[in-house]
Amino acid sequence: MNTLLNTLATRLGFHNQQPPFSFHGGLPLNPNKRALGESIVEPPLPPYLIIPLINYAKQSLTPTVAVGDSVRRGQLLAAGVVAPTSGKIKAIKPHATIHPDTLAVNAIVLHCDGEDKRGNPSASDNPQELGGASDNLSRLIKLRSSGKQSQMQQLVDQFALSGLGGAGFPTAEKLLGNTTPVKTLIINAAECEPEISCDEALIQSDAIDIVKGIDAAVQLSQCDQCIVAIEDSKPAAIENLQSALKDKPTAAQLMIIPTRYPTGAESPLIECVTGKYIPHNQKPTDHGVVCINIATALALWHALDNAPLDSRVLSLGGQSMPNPCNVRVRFGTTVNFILHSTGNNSVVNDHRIRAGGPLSGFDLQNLSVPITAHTNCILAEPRVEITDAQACIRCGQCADVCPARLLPQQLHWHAMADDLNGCKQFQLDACIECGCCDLVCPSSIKLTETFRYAKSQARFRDTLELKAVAAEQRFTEREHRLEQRALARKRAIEERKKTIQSSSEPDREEIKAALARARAKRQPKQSR
Amino acid sequence: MTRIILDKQAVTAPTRNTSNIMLLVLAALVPGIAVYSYVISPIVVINALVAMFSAVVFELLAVKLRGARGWPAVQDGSITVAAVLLALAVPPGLPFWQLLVGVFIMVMLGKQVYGGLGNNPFNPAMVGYAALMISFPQNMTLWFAPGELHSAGFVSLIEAKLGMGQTDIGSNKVWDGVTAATPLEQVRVWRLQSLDDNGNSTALSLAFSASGWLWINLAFLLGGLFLLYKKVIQWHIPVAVVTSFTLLTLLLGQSQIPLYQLVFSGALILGAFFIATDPVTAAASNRGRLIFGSGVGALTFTIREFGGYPEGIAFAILLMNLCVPLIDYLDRRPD
Amino acid sequence: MSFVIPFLLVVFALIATGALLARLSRTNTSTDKNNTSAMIEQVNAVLPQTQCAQCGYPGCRPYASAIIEQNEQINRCPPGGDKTITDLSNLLGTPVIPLNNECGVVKPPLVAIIDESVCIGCTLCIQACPVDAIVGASKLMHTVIQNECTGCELCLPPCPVDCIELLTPQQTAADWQWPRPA
Ligand code: SF4
Ligand code: SF4
Ligand code: SF4
Repeated sequence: MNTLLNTLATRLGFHNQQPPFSFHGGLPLNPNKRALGESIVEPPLPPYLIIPLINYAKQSLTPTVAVGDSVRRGQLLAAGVVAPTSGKIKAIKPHATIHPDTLAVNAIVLHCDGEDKRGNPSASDNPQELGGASDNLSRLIKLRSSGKQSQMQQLVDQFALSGLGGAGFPTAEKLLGNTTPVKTLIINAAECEPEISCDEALIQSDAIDIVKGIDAAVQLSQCDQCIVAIEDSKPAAIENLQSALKDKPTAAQLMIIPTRYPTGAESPLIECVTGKYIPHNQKPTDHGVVCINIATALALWHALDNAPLDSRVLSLGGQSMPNPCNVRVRFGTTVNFILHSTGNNSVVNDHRIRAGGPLSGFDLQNLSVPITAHTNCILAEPRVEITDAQACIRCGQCADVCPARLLPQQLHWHAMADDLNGCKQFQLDACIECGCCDLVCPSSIKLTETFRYAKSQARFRDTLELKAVAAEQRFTEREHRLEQRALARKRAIEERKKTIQSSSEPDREEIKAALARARAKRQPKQSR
Repeated sequence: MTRIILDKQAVTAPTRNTSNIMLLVLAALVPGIAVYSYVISPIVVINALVAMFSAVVFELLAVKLRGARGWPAVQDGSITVAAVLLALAVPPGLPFWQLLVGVFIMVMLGKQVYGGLGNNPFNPAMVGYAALMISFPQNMTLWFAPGELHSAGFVSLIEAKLGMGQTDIGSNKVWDGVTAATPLEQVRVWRLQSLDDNGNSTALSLAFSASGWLWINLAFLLGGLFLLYKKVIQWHIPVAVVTSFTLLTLLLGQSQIPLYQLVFSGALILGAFFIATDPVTAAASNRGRLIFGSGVGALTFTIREFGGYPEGIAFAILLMNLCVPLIDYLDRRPD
Repeated sequence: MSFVIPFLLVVFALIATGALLARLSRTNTSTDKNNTSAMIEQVNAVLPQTQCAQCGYPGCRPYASAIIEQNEQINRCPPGGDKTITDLSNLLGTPVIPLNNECGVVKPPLVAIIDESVCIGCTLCIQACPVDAIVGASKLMHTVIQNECTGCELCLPPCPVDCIELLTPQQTAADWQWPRPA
């Protein structure tokens, strides 16, 4: 009876009142985890790696190494970027990246020497370097509590820890850089997008180290509670985590949440775990919530153990992938190499190869692009025709499934009219681009793509506006300066004139006097 | 080569396209139509078919005139649903040519002038209905008591509707017993004649129970519940319509007729579940839907109770359609 | 009593419609035209701030003042193109007119770059740049701060060795935009 009532309630749109809370919208998608196999495949090291010099905020980075340098694995190449293996830097030049338009960005081409030697060649200058994981952890905690920000930052920089979820936000900043105390630390093991199973594979193989990482994150963030959220569709992973958590006493608790796309996204997950909906213009940290990916927790542990983040597990999947599996690859390995070394090269010619999940990813046009920290899967899909969009019938299904509680039908209207102010009123920035609205739209309208378009337009317009404001300010300042200068010059000239005039008065008197004296002297002569 | 960003094909999601939705709505109307034709007359099926067919023809024409490809526009099935709703809303004895006028206005002025599906601010079926109500007020109040049409005979009815034969529907010559036959119309006539409602209420109540309108409306309710179950519509609008209507009737209603009879007579159920829920012209968010539905219920009550028309839901829906942009503007986020 | 409710409902419907219409018609007409300096401010905000002087005024703000105070035409700004003209016409309630070709032609955004090996350090370009986007010192190599350059081309004529070139800016990852869906 109870379950019946519950089902009825959820069908009618009422929400759960105790944890795990239900979040607004979302869809039950078939997880389709083809890649999940017995173990994680370890392909050989590629002959070269390509490391794009760009950070999560898409700002370009300045390399700290030069062409011709030999580097070791783990050596810093630029802020937050380390060499994934040892070798020689062959070039620093623009290279195509994983990007919808295959945009080229400045990248380091590293020829691997195959020895995979670790450590900084200049490590001897810095004997501190060689502490163990727990030493490093306690050192960090001490630095944090004594407020030695810069030293802490220095240490953290060497971890090269960027989030392994979707966005690649620097994790250390999340854990250490909070002004408000962290109440809840959420470890995100909800991998909700179909086809992606890299985290699940990692939990199945490395649960013990993961729990160590979680414990480290708990200690670093000094949180009140830590919740590891995992979806109920991953029984094996749940079991592994449970036993690992039992073995290591830590503050973390496991919360099993329903499988519903997009729980893995930050705001739905927070809503699901804490019951709090965080409005898009506020940060989770303002509410004392920090969310990190479970693979990132493992990477944190390895980084503390002097193995900075330089590789990740990614899923090879999709309908047409002949040999789906999870692989562990170094950052900078090209998609082509990964497909070849896992026996999947047959698909490269007559299929679409995608980077990222079916909903968050996109088709690749060029396969010699390097994977980065946030490439979580590569899919091979058959070529298909796109169905034409029909008119919106305002059925409202998109609004019902939107986890950001938006009205996609209204947003679409404004976005297609390029009415960015209208989009803003309907809170386009809150859209997490999850694609739920697209999936349910009976008229096959490309809602998410429209929102991505409008969002990037708005972002671009904002930068242009900022630039215009800056230009105008510089112009006014310059005008002002030139005016001041002209004024000053005028004043100086007048001043000089005045001094000449005023100072010439006494001169004249003197001259007169002198003349008079001269005449007076002369007159007697003349008279003589 | 087509580049795909969001790969819908690769995801197995519970999805549905517009034509499916329209088919479901048509399916949900079937029990109502069946009971209707059993109780009143099978002529309603003919009406629905005529309306559907002519609507498709007009739609094709209009889309061609607008310079677009015709079939895709018709295939979504929205005009078919609207046509059936119109055919159900008008009295069964309405002459065919007048029905065609209604359909024409529905397609052209209700939908296509705004740019077709999705762009019309008013419910097309109700636009057609309102136009008919204003143009042919006499015929539009021409309802029959159950059994009356059966006794008249199907063929002569069709003849009358075609304007052939000796009979003329409008002047009440075909059938003896033609009076205003729906309970609502009865109420209105008594009101106009300043007769005491109360004195007649028992008689009316009996007439209602006999009339079979209860069964017709229950069948529509069944269809509506099916749509709710299938999640084609949300509960907000129908519940709001019925609730606000009920509350106002309880608070301010002057008639002695039992409440359930008021709810289950006329087109309130059909309107609440099938017409007001037309997504194109209703509010977008759930809260907006509640406001929209309450407005429809309140206006229906007002028109029925104080207005000059026996049934007010059509105008109520049109008036609330007018308010939808405002409701949507004020409520920019669902829930 | 009986007419109170319909009356209220009608009033409600009227207010609702009225509010909507008011909302729809309240686009940019609420400007106070008497307030000249505020108007100049608004016009200036619409101009692209390239400060290229192609309009015949030394910069965007002077042009804005001229539009308001001397009734100057709104079609003299080539960098703004059609968009600026439309925006200005919306703002001022004047008709949209085509760009005055005597002022210049619409070009894609550009940035200046100095061939540093040729530069003789004469500082003439620094003096010409309206937004102080060039750094350098007498007899030393000069360079353009790409981010600050508005592409106004004012530094080209004074350069005695013609070492300044205008290029289309490199597409950066941060500026990249998703294509408009078909
Ligand atoms: S799901 Fe599609 S058709 Fe329905 S309201 Fe949203 S955009 Fe319109
Ligand atoms: S893509 Fe954006 S608008 Fe669509 S459902 Fe997701 S968050 Fe909502
Ligand atoms: S022409 Fe140049 S200076 Fe004049 S308004 Fe336009 S950008 Fe500004």
